[in-house]
Amino acid sequence: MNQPQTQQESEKVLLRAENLTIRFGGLVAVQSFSLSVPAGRIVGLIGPNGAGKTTVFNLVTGVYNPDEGKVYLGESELTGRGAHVISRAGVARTFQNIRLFSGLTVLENVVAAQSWQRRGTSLASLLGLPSVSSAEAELRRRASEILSFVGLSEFAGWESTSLPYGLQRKLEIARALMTQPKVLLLDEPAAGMNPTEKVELAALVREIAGRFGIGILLIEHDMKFVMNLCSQITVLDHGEVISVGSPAAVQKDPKVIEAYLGAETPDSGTAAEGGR
Amino acid sequence: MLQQLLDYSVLPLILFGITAIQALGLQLILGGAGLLSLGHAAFYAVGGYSAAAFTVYAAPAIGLTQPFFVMLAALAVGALSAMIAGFLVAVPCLRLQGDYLAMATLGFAEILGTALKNIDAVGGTRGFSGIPKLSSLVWVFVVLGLVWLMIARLQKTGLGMAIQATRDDEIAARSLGINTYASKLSAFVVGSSIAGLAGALYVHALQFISPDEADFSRSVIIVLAVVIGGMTSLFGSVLGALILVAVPEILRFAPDAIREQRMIYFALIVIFVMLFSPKGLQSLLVKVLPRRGQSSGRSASAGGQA
Repeated sequence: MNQPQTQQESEKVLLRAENLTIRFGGLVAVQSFSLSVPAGRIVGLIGPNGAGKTTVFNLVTGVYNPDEGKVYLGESELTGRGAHVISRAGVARTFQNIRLFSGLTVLENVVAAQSWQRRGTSLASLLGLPSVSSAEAELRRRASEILSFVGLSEFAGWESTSLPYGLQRKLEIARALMTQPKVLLLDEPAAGMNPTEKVELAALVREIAGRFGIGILLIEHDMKFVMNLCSQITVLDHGEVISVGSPAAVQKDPKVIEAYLGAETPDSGTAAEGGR
Repeated sequence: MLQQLLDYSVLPLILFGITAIQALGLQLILGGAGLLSLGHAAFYAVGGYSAAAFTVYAAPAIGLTQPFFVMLAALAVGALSAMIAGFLVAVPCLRLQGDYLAMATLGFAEILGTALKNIDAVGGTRGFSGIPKLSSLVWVFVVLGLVWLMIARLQKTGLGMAIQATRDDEIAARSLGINTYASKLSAFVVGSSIAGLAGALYVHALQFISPDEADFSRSVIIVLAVVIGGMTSLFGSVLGALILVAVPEILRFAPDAIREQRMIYFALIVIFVMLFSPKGLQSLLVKVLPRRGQSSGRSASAGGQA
């Protein structure tokens, strides 16, 4: 942080994955995968089922350690660090199979995402010291703000798992935002949503990138959703990158068309909508 | 007659209070962190023995004689020693998942019981007797109240949130920056030290403790209290403790053939709870009691954890 140009860093590459490879037994799940996510940009990661997209997320967030390759956030290397350390560095994610804290309310799910930043305050808050209770009130206020940002304020006191499916996905996004991430990884955020909800979600994702300058990496099967949102798309098939480029370029790439549909021409826009 | 009844009821009440404190400690580990410890009674025994040894040997040596302060110090010794024991067991064992943790804590309890039987300074197999009577019904219930308040409050702290998040989904918790190993360790260590408090109260109320207190069956009783009452609720754990202490007391007036089978009744209660009320008997009570002042049901459920 001793460089003077911190103000102009909004265009710099935040998240960088270099030549990530992981094998499970004899299966090469991801091979030489590279990608970068600039601040404030939305980058798409697509590919047929089983291509290795979620594995890439797990490699970046430290759920798995790559056999080869490196992950950087800004200048610092994240490879091989624990998942919680990577999260604290500024990489947040949501999950394809929703993972909410079922024993906590909607608001508490968001508050819990900040719990590690309250280290050292637990004893004081146990005793109910006034300084801490105001800090706690501040935390709840921030959590409420994020809930209203994603449009969940009215459900704050609900049991998290009693929310409808689409709203549970939004709650996962709210929870991830509470960690104040630099990069946000969204794993099929639109899955199970109806068309109206998808339009709302797209606006939300765009705003997260635009307003907060958060770099977003998006896995999604809904091609219309991906093509409208992303500035850059990486296509994965059988663990390998087969195409990188703008949405328009990727859509025309014969390798991509073949991966999705065999050798035929895709009905543009809805190529893999039936995939989920 | 009334006086006799009161005198008689003091001991069961003390036992209820102590079991309730033990159950609250295990509630934090089992219900709070989702860890099955089958050696909770061992930490209770560690606390009891250390507190007793402190009162009998150490307190006179350092010239501490005022009963109130001796008891206070004994509580601290009991909690601290159980906390250290909990830490030593948890550091390696929490690397294990699920059933293995239960096995490891069970093993610790067996080892401790055997060790205590062979230490003559604390009575060996005969048990540790001649402990001054410093604790009372008031001590037990004051500590019970404080422990209850503390755990209820803990759930709202950063640590408490991290513990609950870890229990509900470890992968998600880690993805949000929570050190799940540290959360589980904290829950285990705090829960163990609460068991130690209960041990210190017990030895100074009954003036005796034997190695049997570390026994597997005692640990099972505490697990039963938590499960029957309701794992997710502090009130449930206390309710469970009440049932486990009250049932044998009531059966005291029943014929021998019925009285001898108390474990069967507990088993029946557990089966009933699992079938009809997986959240424990407390959830049945909550359903039955009229819900007053809950028109703002949403905010009420936010505070409902305690």
